[in-house]
Amino acid sequence: MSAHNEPLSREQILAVLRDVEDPEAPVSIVDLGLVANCGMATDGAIEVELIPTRAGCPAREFIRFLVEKRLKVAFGERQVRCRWLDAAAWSTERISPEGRRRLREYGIAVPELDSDGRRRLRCPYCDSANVRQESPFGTSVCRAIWYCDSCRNPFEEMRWLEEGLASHFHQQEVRLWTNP
Amino acid sequence: MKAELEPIIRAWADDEIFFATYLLGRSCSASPDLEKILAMASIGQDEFGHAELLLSLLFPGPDAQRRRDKERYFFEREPQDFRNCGLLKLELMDDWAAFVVRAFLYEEAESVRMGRLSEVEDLAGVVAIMEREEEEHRRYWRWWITSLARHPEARQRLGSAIELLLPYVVDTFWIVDAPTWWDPAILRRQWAGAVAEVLAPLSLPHADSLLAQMASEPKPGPDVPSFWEFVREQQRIYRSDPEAVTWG
Repeated sequence: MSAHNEPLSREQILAVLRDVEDPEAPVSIVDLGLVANCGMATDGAIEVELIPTRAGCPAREFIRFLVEKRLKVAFGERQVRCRWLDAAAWSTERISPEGRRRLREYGIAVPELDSDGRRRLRCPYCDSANVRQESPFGTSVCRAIWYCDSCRNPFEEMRWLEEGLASHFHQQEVRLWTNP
Repeated sequence: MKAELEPIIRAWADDEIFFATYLLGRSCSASPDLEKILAMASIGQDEFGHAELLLSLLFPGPDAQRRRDKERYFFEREPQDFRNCGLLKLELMDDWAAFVVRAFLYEEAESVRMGRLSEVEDLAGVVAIMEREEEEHRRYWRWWITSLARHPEARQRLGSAIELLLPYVVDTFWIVDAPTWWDPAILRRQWAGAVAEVLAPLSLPHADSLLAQMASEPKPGPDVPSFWEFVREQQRIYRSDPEAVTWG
């Protein structure tokens, strides 16, 4: 535990935030790309800014609670100011390689872009590209349900788009729209 | 945010809150299967998020205070003070076709509303965030309408739902104290045009009457006394302990 006025680096804060898991998947909020900024303010308080995966993510309050609690355990009873950036747009591009690996182990695929800029989604269990969307809405607001025709497993997609590619995805998803 | 936008934001937030409430509190029980229940829950959560975004414009300030302000705003108002459109005053208990028709009409109206408000500097950012999610919703409801229209029994149910909802589309876009540039007549015609693109090829019963009603001059909608009781139901738990907190 550090003294309340001891300077803290961004890296020290990030290291602690890596222990905070998203409540809906066993992956750190850092690897999920939720942490936009963190650091120490001039008054000594720790400040954290988070980006929600979607505007209505129901886990927002709970994540804020976990962040504040974890930082206070790590750094003593410093003031912690954690806030969500409502106007920021999250995308799957913010997920780190480690985050993608953890999600895949959990049965959640993250879309990748190929060299032509087209989206590729592979089954997290058998790596097949022979997959189809079952429903655009999954077990949480940021996921969709897919089915693998190779290994015959259902799986989920961590969905979101890079903003500039929205029209491309739109066309592709209409084609995949078989059974909402 | 400019003060003239407040009436629009208040009406919009109330629409989103009640649309979400129906999706999460009523539609789930009428959904055909588990995947559709998940879809209702996801769309409802999105809509609650949009209501939060809108209310954050009305209640800026530190997070904790803002949360309390938003709670008070929703839970401590009297039912007659809510400003949502008539389409969202009707409580539909168990008819999936009626849920689909209302959701389709509402989401198309929202698209028109967002299109107009994306031109307003103070709101363009919020609209852009919302549109990423709303575009998925619209595709979902259009798919449902089109799919149901292929089946004889479902067509009849869709027709009955359209007839049921007819009286409740008269006040869509009609907002008390809205700024002069907010022109509900133009927005209603755009709405009717967007809905007609989907409905015209389907030749559903009563669709022509609906489209004519949607494009008509706006006016106050009918009283819906059951809506007041519905609002009370949503407020009951909060009012039993207004100082209760969630986390921390």
